[in-house]
Amino acid sequence: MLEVQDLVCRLGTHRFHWNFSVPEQSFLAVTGPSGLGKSSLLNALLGFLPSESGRICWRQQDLSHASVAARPFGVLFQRDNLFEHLSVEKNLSLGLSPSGRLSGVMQEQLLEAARRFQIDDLLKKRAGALSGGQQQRVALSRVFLQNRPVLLLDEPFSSLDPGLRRDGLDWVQELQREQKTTIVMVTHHLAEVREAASHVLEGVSSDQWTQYPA
Amino acid sequence: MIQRLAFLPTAVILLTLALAGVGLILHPGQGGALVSYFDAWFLQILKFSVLQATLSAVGSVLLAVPFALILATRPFRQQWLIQGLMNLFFIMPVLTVVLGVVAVFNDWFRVFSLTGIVVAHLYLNVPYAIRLFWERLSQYSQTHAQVAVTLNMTAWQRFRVLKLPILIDAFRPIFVLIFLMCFSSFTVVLTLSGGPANTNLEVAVFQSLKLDFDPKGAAFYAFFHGLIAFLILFFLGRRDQFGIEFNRLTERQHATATDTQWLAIAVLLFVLSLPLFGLTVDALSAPFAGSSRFGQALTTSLLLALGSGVLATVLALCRSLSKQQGRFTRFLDFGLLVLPMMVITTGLLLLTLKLHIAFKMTFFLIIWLNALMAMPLIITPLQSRIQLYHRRYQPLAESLGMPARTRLGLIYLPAVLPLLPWAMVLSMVLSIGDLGVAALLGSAQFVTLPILIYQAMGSYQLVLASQLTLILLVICAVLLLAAEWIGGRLRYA
Repeated sequence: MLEVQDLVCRLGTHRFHWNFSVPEQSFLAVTGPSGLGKSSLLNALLGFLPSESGRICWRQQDLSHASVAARPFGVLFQRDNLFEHLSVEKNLSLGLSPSGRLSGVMQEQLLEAARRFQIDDLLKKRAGALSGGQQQRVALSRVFLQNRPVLLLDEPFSSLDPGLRRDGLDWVQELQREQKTTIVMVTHHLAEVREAASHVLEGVSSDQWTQYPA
Repeated sequence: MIQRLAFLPTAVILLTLALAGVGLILHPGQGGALVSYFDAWFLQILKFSVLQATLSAVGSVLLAVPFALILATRPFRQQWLIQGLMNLFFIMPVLTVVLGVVAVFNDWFRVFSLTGIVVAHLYLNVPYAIRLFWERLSQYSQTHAQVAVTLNMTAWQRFRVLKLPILIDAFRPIFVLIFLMCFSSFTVVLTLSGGPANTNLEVAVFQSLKLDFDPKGAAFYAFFHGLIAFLILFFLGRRDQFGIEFNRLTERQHATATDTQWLAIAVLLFVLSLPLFGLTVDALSAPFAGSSRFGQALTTSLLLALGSGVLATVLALCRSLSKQQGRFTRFLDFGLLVLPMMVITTGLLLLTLKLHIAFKMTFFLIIWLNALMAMPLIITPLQSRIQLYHRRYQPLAESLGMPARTRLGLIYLPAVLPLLPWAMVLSMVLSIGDLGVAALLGSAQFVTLPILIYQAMGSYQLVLASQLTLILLVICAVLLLAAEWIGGRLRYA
């Protein structure tokens, strides 16, 4: 269970207050008008936005003081999910080892993930030279390789056309089923994810959020 | 680890200043009390230092403003070329301009005089001042211009309301910057002074040490020079108002220049190319007789430039990794460019003389000091690039738990790699044209290309001096072109 207990954060003049919980292996869609703090919630979970009070717990363990890397989260941001100047292979290797140096076994894992996400012919290409859809698959396969128990998604497919957005969501659901991942996904298009989501967290104002089943 | 690397340049700068200070205090000089140097000669030097710097700065600003106003009317396709030419005048060896001014204007007026010094300073500083005013005026956007037209504002009202406040705002920092650079001018004043009446503090330090061997006098003049420059910089110059940087990523423009802009460009090109043209004509007027020490001077200059280039690039790279840009570090970085380097050089020379290691350290000290002079000019582009990558990729790097060493190797070094050849060559070009530091530190046997040029001028071999300067200029051009080519290949690799 991912529990966010009376978490209060401040960003400029905005005061955010969140209080919700997500059962393991479920899919929480975070929605609401712009400016309420949907992305800030993910930043707070990741530890980029310091909290004034409250706790973030994963499997009853308090994460409030854990470093970003020590938290159980994989993440896909709205943009800049890949180091565009590096090759696809190097980007993927960083999902397996933070230093990017791989053992033989890890190399095998990387190739397998690349085949699975149909990007094995792109491995030597520079990430910046790929199309939006290809970049999406590379970023997803890196998340797949990271194999974190919770995946945070900050509208990573919003700049893509509806077909690619649908594909992206299919990949996420497949990843959720296979790796038993808990998903927290920020979205402006609730209708698009309603089928996939098990819970919805909807912002009414920056310090008032309602949680309900999808 | 990254922050420790970033501290290295600060440590080097502080160490340099501290050692120079110790050298000035513990100078090996003998003789009377310091008060004996407060004489009519000192007042004459002080008066001349201020006079030539004031005339040069006022002239530079007054000439630059009309050109900047015209060039900033609207962005145009060829502006990168004009900006590049202006940058070139800032980095090209000072001796090029000096010999060019001699070649062109010697028949018109006495160039070995205050007038010659001011004209050479104008050539060095007007292009730079134009660029700074132009950059400021570009803040006034096309949208503002359109709004002003819809409000039925006349041309004068538009100037008064939109452009004049920007010019007034930019005037003081640009004036102070140019004043300080001219106040600390060495090569121009040494070569064009035409006699002891036209001596500034920087040249007085050199003469005290090299001609009179009076370390105490040198320490006295150096101290006053340092004090005045520091006070001006501290009270009048705020770093954030200056822009000593060479932004290479100019946005491409699509509009062509207006007729007035073309006219301004033509006048600028004509006036700026005059000394280069004069120098070339002078140099080609006779076959190159050469000099017995030419090979030695060329090798020494290239080795010194290479050493300074590498050191400046390493230091600038370390500094650009720094997350925090405090006022103190900015002041240190920037101060090195306008604080008189001769003062620091004198301090270090006096210290090495005291320790009896002066001539063993010559090579190393020249590399060290030239690197410190070049560093402020190359920090900003490297820093902007690193900060851009930092903003883009820091969240991703943290979420992936990448260690500092991996971030350095996979994010920051690739970010600055295409700029490194350019940064190194810019430092090399600045170093290869240096006369002051090398002339002060070098023994009679020590010779670089600029020293050889100065010696040729001193023995009235102006054609030989022009020929050697032309060779120096060609080396600089080849280095800059090579840097562009290598940088381009790294960018698209």
